[in-house]
Amino acid sequence: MNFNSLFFNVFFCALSLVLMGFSLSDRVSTAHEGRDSVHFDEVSQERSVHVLDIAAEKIKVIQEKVHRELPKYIKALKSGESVWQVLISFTVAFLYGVVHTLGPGHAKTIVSTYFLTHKSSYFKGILLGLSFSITHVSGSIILVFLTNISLKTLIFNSDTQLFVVKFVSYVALLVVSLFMVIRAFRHAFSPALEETGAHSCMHCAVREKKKDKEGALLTFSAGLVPCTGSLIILLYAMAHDVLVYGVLMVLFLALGMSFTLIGIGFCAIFAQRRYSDLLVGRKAYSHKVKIAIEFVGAFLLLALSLLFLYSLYS
Amino acid sequence: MKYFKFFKYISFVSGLSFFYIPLVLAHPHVWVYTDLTVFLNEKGFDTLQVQWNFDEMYSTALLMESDTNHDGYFDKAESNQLFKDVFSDLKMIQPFMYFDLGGQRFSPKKFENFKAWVGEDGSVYYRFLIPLGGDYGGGDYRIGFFDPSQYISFEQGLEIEFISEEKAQIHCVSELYKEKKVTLSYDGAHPEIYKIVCE
Repeated sequence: MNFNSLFFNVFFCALSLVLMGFSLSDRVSTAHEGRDSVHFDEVSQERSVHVLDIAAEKIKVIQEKVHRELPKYIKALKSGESVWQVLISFTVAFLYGVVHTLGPGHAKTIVSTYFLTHKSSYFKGILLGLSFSITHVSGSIILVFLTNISLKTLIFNSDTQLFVVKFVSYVALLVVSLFMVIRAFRHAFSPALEETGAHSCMHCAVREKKKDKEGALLTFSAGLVPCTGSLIILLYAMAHDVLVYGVLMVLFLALGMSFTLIGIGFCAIFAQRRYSDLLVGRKAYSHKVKIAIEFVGAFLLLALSLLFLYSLYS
Repeated sequence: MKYFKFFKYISFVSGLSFFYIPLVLAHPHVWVYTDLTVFLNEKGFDTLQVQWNFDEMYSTALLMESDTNHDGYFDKAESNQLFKDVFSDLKMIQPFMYFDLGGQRFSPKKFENFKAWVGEDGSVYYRFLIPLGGDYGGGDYRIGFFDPSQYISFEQGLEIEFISEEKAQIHCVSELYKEKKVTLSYDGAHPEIYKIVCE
């Protein structure tokens, strides 16, 4: 059986679209019947329609469980820490970061769009994952140490409370994506050397270097909005006089976030390489296809940043 | 080698689907366990009692901020301040509440008998009344609590409790269902709300 055949490429691409379709279909939230109810899981499974719905609900339930477990470990650190307790607490914080990042936000769409439409190295995938999570968590640490934040109004009215920082973040995203659109236009009007078979044009070598900064700027801009999950952990740790451990837990949470983002980045880089092999390698279309993909990526990121700005005012 | 390539395809497919699953997941930072009670009188629906129980971490942060004398309780002054902070700005609180009373949308403007307390497990509870202020007898009603931004996860009890006065002439039952008419802003998911049928 030839796994590189056109049939398999089409089949798996179609399958992935179907899976995406399922994942984008309706899903339900979970009802509660008391805090520690076993019924909680059963309800979510009974009401989920698709396999991916169940997976999505499971992730949500796991996130709630980890969120509920975290205070126990923070309190345990207060009552007398052992090496094991410290290690377990950091591991739970790491897991919380992994699961929490699966929720909306956290630059997953930005990272996957960027890597799906730009040729990148796996090392860059690691850098971008770290860049986002460290910026995202640092904002919370700064808020706790340098400001007198009101959590009760922040939670109920986050758009107003964090308006300035969200505005700066989204405008920065807009500027970087606009820059990418302009770059795509410049690329489109550069003379191509199609006769070589491989993609090549006059300014490509120069722009490959400049492009490295775009991804980092994108994730940095997206990470400027502070992580509320980290904020709550820090305040909880502060209330129990273990703020230093709180900061360390939040850093492990950031590592967990990076882990998820790097995983997503790696999948996107891998996918980009696969479809590049399939599409860009074809002699007659190589330059045009690459420019088209670059346009799609730049415009998608531009649309995302405009959507974020719109959501701030709507 | 052939199998290695096959697994590469599988990882490619699962990778692609993986990107898009997270887009439709809720992204809560705070969990609020919500229980509703409807008081029925001779006219029908009279008042809705809402009880919110916040998760432990948020409760602690809330206590740090609002329990100004640090005695571990909310006294009257602290409770009043809390009410003022959360409920005085209707634009802030109304988006979390969905009321469709017999085909008419209702936005609560009055919140009465607010009480905040700390439970035995250290979590914070809010309880308040929403006067429905109309003659809502037999018919279909929709009530639900959700956060359009999915920042807060309102975990609603499976059923609403109905408490009838002696003169009450209607009987109501509730069921939690997914309201497809309402789309959450971020990802196109639909919230769960109660369908109440009164006869």
